[in-house]
Amino acid sequence: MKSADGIDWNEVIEDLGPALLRYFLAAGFARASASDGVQETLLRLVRLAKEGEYDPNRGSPRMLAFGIARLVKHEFYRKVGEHDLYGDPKEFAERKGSVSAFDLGNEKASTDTLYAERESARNLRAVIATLEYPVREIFFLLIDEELKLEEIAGILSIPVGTVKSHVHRGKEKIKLSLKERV
Amino acid sequence: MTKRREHDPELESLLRAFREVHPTSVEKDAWKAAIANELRELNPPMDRVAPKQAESPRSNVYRFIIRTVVQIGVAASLGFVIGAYIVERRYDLGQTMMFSQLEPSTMIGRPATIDESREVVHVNLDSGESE
Repeated sequence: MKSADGIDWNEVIEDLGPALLRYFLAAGFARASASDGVQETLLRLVRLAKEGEYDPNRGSPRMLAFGIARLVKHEFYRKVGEHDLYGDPKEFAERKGSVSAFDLGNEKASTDTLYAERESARNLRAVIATLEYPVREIFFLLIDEELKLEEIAGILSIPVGTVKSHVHRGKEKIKLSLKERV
Repeated sequence: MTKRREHDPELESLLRAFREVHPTSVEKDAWKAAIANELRELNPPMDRVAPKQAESPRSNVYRFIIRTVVQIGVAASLGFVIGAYIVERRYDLGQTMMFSQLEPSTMIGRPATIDESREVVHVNLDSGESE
Protein backbone atom coordinates (compact mmCIF):
# COMPACT_ATOMS: atom_id res chain seq x y z
CA MET A 1 0.00 0.00 0.00
CA LYS A 2 1.94 2.97 -1.31
CA SER A 3 0.74 6.53 -1.60
CA ALA A 4 1.46 8.87 -4.50
CA ASP A 5 4.54 10.20 -2.73
CA GLY A 6 6.04 6.70 -2.46
CA ILE A 7 5.48 6.09 1.27
CA ASP A 8 4.91 2.41 2.06
CA TRP A 9 2.19 2.63 4.69
CA ASN A 10 2.31 -1.10 5.46
CA GLU A 11 5.89 -0.58 6.55
CA VAL A 12 4.91 2.46 8.63
CA ILE A 13 2.19 0.39 10.35
CA GLU A 14 4.62 -2.43 11.08
CA ASP A 15 7.22 0.02 12.35
CA LEU A 16 5.14 2.44 14.40
CA GLY A 17 1.91 0.54 15.12
CA PRO A 18 3.11 -1.66 18.00
CA ALA A 19 4.98 1.18 19.73
CA LEU A 20 2.01 3.52 19.42
CA LEU A 21 -0.35 0.86 20.75
CA ARG A 22 1.87 0.36 23.80
CA TYR A 23 2.01 4.11 24.31
CA PHE A 24 -1.78 4.44 24.39
CA LEU A 25 -2.17 1.38 26.60
CA ALA A 26 0.40 2.70 29.04
CA ALA A 27 -1.35 6.06 29.05
CA GLY A 28 -4.46 4.40 30.45
CA PHE A 29 -6.48 3.60 27.34
CA ALA A 30 -8.55 0.45 27.16
CA ARG A 31 -7.46 -1.90 24.39
CA ALA A 32 -10.14 -0.87 21.88
CA SER A 33 -9.56 2.82 22.56
CA ALA A 34 -5.79 2.36 22.26
CA SER A 35 -6.29 0.75 18.86
CA ASP A 36 -8.51 3.67 17.83
CA GLY A 37 -5.84 6.06 19.07
CA VAL A 38 -3.21 4.36 16.89
CA GLN A 39 -5.54 4.51 13.89
CA GLU A 40 -6.23 8.21 14.41
CA THR A 41 -2.50 8.93 14.76
CA LEU A 42 -1.72 7.02 11.54
CA LEU A 43 -4.50 8.83 9.66
CA ARG A 44 -3.12 12.19 10.72
CA LEU A 45 0.30 11.07 9.48
CA VAL A 46 -1.27 10.23 6.11
CA ARG A 47 -2.78 13.72 5.93
CA LEU A 48 0.54 15.29 6.88
CA ALA A 49 2.27 13.23 4.19
CA LYS A 50 -0.25 14.54 1.69
CA GLU A 51 0.71 18.09 2.69
CA GLY A 52 4.38 17.17 2.33
CA GLU A 53 5.09 17.47 6.05
CA TYR A 54 5.81 13.79 6.69
CA ASP A 55 8.51 11.69 5.08
CA PRO A 56 9.62 8.50 6.87
CA ASN A 57 13.03 8.74 5.20
CA ARG A 58 13.73 12.26 6.41
CA GLY A 59 14.07 13.85 9.85
CA SER A 60 12.59 12.01 12.80
CA PRO A 61 9.30 10.39 11.81
CA ARG A 62 8.95 8.71 15.22
CA MET A 63 9.18 12.05 16.95
CA LEU A 64 6.43 13.41 14.74
CA ALA A 65 4.28 10.29 15.22
CA PHE A 66 4.56 10.39 18.99
CA GLY A 67 3.92 14.12 19.02
CA ILE A 68 0.65 13.45 17.19
CA ALA A 69 -0.13 10.49 19.47
CA ARG A 70 0.27 12.76 22.47
CA LEU A 71 -2.18 15.23 20.93
CA VAL A 72 -4.65 12.44 20.15
CA LYS A 73 -4.34 11.23 23.73
CA HIS A 74 -5.17 14.67 25.15
CA GLU A 75 -8.10 15.07 22.76
CA PHE A 76 -9.42 11.71 23.90
CA TYR A 77 -9.10 12.74 27.54
CA ARG A 78 -11.00 15.94 26.85
CA LYS A 79 -13.68 14.01 25.00
CA VAL A 80 -14.13 11.48 27.76
CA GLY A 81 -14.09 14.24 30.32
CA GLU A 82 -12.35 12.16 32.92
CA HIS A 83 -9.32 9.97 32.82
CA ASP A 84 -7.60 7.70 35.19
CA LEU A 85 -4.11 9.09 35.15
CA TYR A 86 -4.54 11.90 37.59
CA GLY A 87 -6.70 10.18 40.14
CA ASP A 88 -7.26 7.03 42.04
CA PRO A 89 -7.80 4.07 39.66
CA LYS A 90 -10.47 2.51 41.86
CA GLU A 91 -12.39 5.73 42.12
CA PHE A 92 -12.13 6.20 38.37
CA ALA A 93 -13.37 2.68 37.65
CA GLU A 94 -16.48 3.32 39.73
CA ARG A 95 -17.45 6.37 37.69
CA LYS A 96 -20.13 5.71 35.20
CA GLY A 97 -19.12 5.81 31.56
CA SER A 98 -15.43 6.26 32.25
CA VAL A 99 -12.85 4.41 30.21
CA SER A 100 -10.55 2.46 32.43
CA ALA A 101 -7.34 0.83 31.37
CA PHE A 102 -7.25 -1.10 34.62
CA ASP A 103 -10.28 -3.12 33.74
CA LEU A 104 -9.28 -6.35 32.04
CA GLY A 105 -12.80 -7.25 31.09
CA ASN A 106 -14.49 -10.41 32.27
CA GLU A 107 -11.33 -12.47 32.41
CA LYS A 108 -11.00 -14.24 35.70
CA ALA A 109 -7.73 -14.45 37.54
CA SER A 110 -5.76 -17.46 36.50
CA THR A 111 -2.22 -18.68 36.82
CA ASP A 112 -1.42 -18.64 33.11
CA THR A 113 1.46 -16.61 31.69
CA LEU A 114 -0.75 -14.20 29.79
CA TYR A 115 -2.56 -13.17 32.92
CA ALA A 116 0.73 -12.75 34.78
CA GLU A 117 2.03 -10.52 32.00
CA ARG A 118 -1.11 -8.45 31.98
CA GLU A 119 -1.06 -8.21 35.73
CA SER A 120 2.52 -6.94 35.71
CA ALA A 121 1.68 -4.45 32.96
CA ARG A 122 -1.31 -3.27 34.97
CA ASN A 123 0.83 -2.83 38.08
CA LEU A 124 3.43 -0.88 36.13
CA ARG A 125 0.74 1.29 34.56
CA ALA A 126 -0.76 2.03 37.95
CA VAL A 127 2.64 2.98 39.33
CA ILE A 128 3.49 5.26 36.40
CA ALA A 129 0.07 6.88 36.74
CA THR A 130 1.05 8.05 40.24
CA LEU A 131 4.10 9.92 38.92
CA GLU A 132 3.84 13.61 38.32
CA TYR A 133 4.11 15.38 34.95
CA PRO A 134 6.41 15.26 32.95
CA VAL A 135 7.96 12.10 34.50
CA ARG A 136 4.81 10.14 33.70
CA GLU A 137 4.81 11.32 30.09
CA ILE A 138 8.53 10.53 29.72
CA PHE A 139 7.93 6.94 30.81
CA PHE A 140 5.04 6.58 28.36
CA LEU A 141 7.37 7.67 25.58
CA LEU A 142 10.24 5.45 26.80
CA ILE A 143 8.07 2.46 25.95
CA ASP A 144 9.19 2.88 22.35
CA GLU A 145 12.71 1.46 22.28
CA GLU A 146 13.62 3.42 19.17
CA LEU A 147 12.75 6.83 20.54
CA LYS A 148 15.90 8.61 21.71
CA LEU A 149 16.07 10.82 24.79
CA GLU A 150 16.76 13.83 22.55
CA GLU A 151 13.56 13.12 20.65
CA ILE A 152 11.57 12.73 23.87
CA ALA A 153 12.98 16.08 24.99
CA GLY A 154 11.89 17.54 21.64
CA ILE A 155 8.35 16.16 21.93
CA LEU A 156 7.93 17.54 25.45
CA SER A 157 9.88 20.76 24.71
CA ILE A 158 12.20 20.31 27.70
CA PRO A 159 16.01 20.03 27.86
CA VAL A 160 17.65 16.58 27.43
CA GLY A 161 19.35 16.93 30.80
CA THR A 162 15.96 17.31 32.46
CA VAL A 163 14.70 14.17 30.70
CA LYS A 164 17.76 12.22 31.91
CA SER A 165 17.32 13.35 35.52
CA HIS A 166 13.59 12.55 35.41
CA VAL A 167 14.34 9.07 34.03
CA HIS A 168 16.86 8.46 36.79
CA ARG A 169 14.56 9.60 39.59
CA GLY A 170 11.50 7.99 37.97
CA LYS A 171 13.20 4.61 37.86
CA GLU A 172 13.88 4.74 41.59
CA LYS A 173 10.30 5.72 42.34
CA ILE A 174 8.87 2.98 40.12
CA LYS A 175 11.09 0.31 41.64
CA LEU A 176 10.10 1.39 45.13
CA SER A 177 6.41 1.49 44.29
CA LEU A 178 6.50 -1.91 42.60
CA LYS A 179 8.23 -3.41 45.64
CA GLU A 180 5.55 -1.94 47.89
CA ARG A 181 2.83 -3.44 45.69
CA VAL A 182 4.42 -6.86 45.71
CA MET B 1 17.66 2.94 9.97
CA THR B 2 17.03 4.73 13.23
CA LYS B 3 19.84 4.55 15.75
CA ARG B 4 18.60 3.14 19.02
CA ARG B 5 19.03 5.09 22.20
CA GLU B 6 21.62 4.22 24.79
CA HIS B 7 20.78 0.86 26.35
CA ASP B 8 19.67 0.98 29.96
CA PRO B 9 19.13 -2.61 31.21
CA GLU B 10 17.40 -1.48 34.38
CA LEU B 11 14.93 0.67 32.49
CA GLU B 12 14.35 -2.04 29.90
CA SER B 13 13.55 -4.60 32.58
CA LEU B 14 11.13 -2.16 34.21
CA LEU B 15 9.30 -1.51 30.95
CA ARG B 16 9.36 -5.14 29.83
CA ALA B 17 5.80 -5.62 30.98
CA PHE B 18 4.61 -3.09 28.39
CA ARG B 19 6.82 -4.41 25.61
CA GLU B 20 5.04 -7.74 25.62
CA VAL B 21 1.93 -6.15 24.14
CA HIS B 22 1.60 -6.60 20.38
CA PRO B 23 -1.14 -5.56 17.98
CA THR B 24 -3.31 -8.36 16.68
CA SER B 25 -3.68 -9.01 12.96
CA VAL B 26 -7.29 -7.74 13.20
CA GLU B 27 -6.07 -4.42 14.58
CA LYS B 28 -3.40 -4.12 11.90
CA ASP B 29 -5.94 -4.89 9.19
CA ALA B 30 -8.25 -2.22 10.58
CA TRP B 31 -5.44 0.36 10.49
CA LYS B 32 -4.49 -0.64 6.96
CA ALA B 33 -8.09 -0.39 5.79
CA ALA B 34 -8.47 3.04 7.40
CA ILE B 35 -5.28 4.30 5.75
CA ALA B 36 -6.28 2.85 2.37
CA ASN B 37 -9.64 4.59 2.67
CA GLU B 38 -7.96 7.87 3.61
CA LEU B 39 -5.56 7.59 0.67
CA ARG B 40 -8.48 6.97 -1.70
CA GLU B 41 -10.22 10.10 -0.42
CA LEU B 42 -7.07 12.18 -0.68
CA ASN B 43 -6.10 10.88 -4.13
CA PRO B 44 -9.25 10.24 -6.20
CA PRO B 45 -8.69 7.94 -9.22
CA MET B 46 -7.97 9.71 -12.47
CA ASP B 47 -11.15 8.49 -14.21
CA ARG B 48 -13.29 10.35 -11.66
CA VAL B 49 -11.72 13.64 -12.63
CA ALA B 50 -13.25 15.19 -15.76
CA PRO B 51 -10.76 14.99 -18.63
CA LYS B 52 -9.36 18.30 -19.74
CA GLN B 53 -10.71 19.33 -23.14
CA ALA B 54 -8.24 19.93 -25.93
CA GLU B 55 -8.10 23.58 -26.91
CA SER B 56 -8.02 24.77 -30.52
CA PRO B 57 -5.18 27.06 -31.74
CA ARG B 58 -7.72 29.79 -32.50
CA SER B 59 -8.92 29.96 -28.91
CA ASN B 60 -5.30 30.23 -27.81
CA VAL B 61 -4.83 33.24 -30.13
CA TYR B 62 -7.98 34.90 -28.79
CA ARG B 63 -6.84 34.27 -25.26
CA PHE B 64 -3.44 35.79 -26.04
CA ILE B 65 -5.03 38.90 -27.58
CA ILE B 66 -7.43 39.38 -24.70
CA ARG B 67 -4.65 38.97 -22.14
CA THR B 68 -2.43 41.45 -24.01
CA VAL B 69 -5.22 44.00 -24.35
CA VAL B 70 -6.12 43.72 -20.69
CA GLN B 71 -2.50 44.11 -19.67
CA ILE B 72 -2.02 47.16 -21.89
CA GLY B 73 -5.27 48.65 -20.62
CA VAL B 74 -4.28 48.19 -17.01
CA ALA B 75 -0.81 49.63 -17.65
CA ALA B 76 -2.26 52.66 -19.53
CA SER B 77 -4.79 53.39 -16.78
CA LEU B 78 -2.10 53.17 -14.17
CA GLY B 79 0.19 55.43 -16.20
CA PHE B 80 -2.60 57.99 -16.69
CA VAL B 81 -3.38 58.10 -12.99
CA ILE B 82 0.27 58.44 -12.00
CA GLY B 83 0.88 61.06 -14.71
CA ALA B 84 -2.14 63.10 -13.64
CA TYR B 85 -1.00 62.98 -10.07
CA ILE B 86 2.51 64.21 -10.99
CA VAL B 87 1.16 67.08 -13.14
CA GLU B 88 -1.24 68.15 -10.40
CA ARG B 89 1.50 68.01 -7.85
CA ARG B 90 3.87 70.09 -9.95
CA TYR B 91 1.13 72.69 -10.63
CA ASP B 92 0.42 72.99 -6.90
CA LEU B 93 4.12 73.36 -6.18
CA GLY B 94 4.45 76.13 -8.80
CA GLN B 95 1.51 77.99 -7.37
CA THR B 96 2.92 77.79 -3.89
CA MET B 97 6.32 79.10 -4.97
CA MET B 98 4.84 81.98 -6.95
CA PHE B 99 2.59 83.19 -4.16
CA SER B 100 5.24 82.78 -1.51
CA GLN B 101 7.30 85.60 -3.14
CA LEU B 102 4.40 88.03 -2.87
CA GLU B 103 3.76 87.46 0.77
CA PRO B 104 4.63 90.50 2.90
CA SER B 105 6.06 88.40 5.62
CA THR B 106 8.99 87.56 3.39
CA MET B 107 9.86 91.26 3.09
CA ILE B 108 10.26 91.70 6.83
CA GLY B 109 13.00 89.22 7.01
CA ARG B 110 15.16 90.88 4.39
CA PRO B 111 18.44 92.51 5.56
CA ALA B 112 18.48 96.30 5.63
CA THR B 113 20.35 97.92 2.72
CA ILE B 114 21.92 101.35 2.57
CA ASP B 115 20.59 103.44 -0.17
CA GLU B 116 23.64 105.33 -1.52
CA SER B 117 21.62 107.55 -3.80
CA ARG B 118 19.70 109.08 -0.88
CA GLU B 119 20.71 112.65 -0.17
CA VAL B 120 22.38 113.20 3.22
CA VAL B 121 21.38 116.40 4.99
CA HIS B 122 23.57 117.68 7.83
CA VAL B 123 21.95 120.23 10.12
CA ASN B 124 23.90 122.62 12.28
CA LEU B 125 21.74 122.96 15.33
CA ASP B 126 23.73 125.88 16.79
CA SER B 127 23.38 128.22 13.82
CA GLY B 128 20.19 126.76 12.47
CA GLU B 129 21.69 126.51 8.98
CA SER B 130 21.75 123.50 6.92
CA GLU B 131 24.66 122.37 4.66
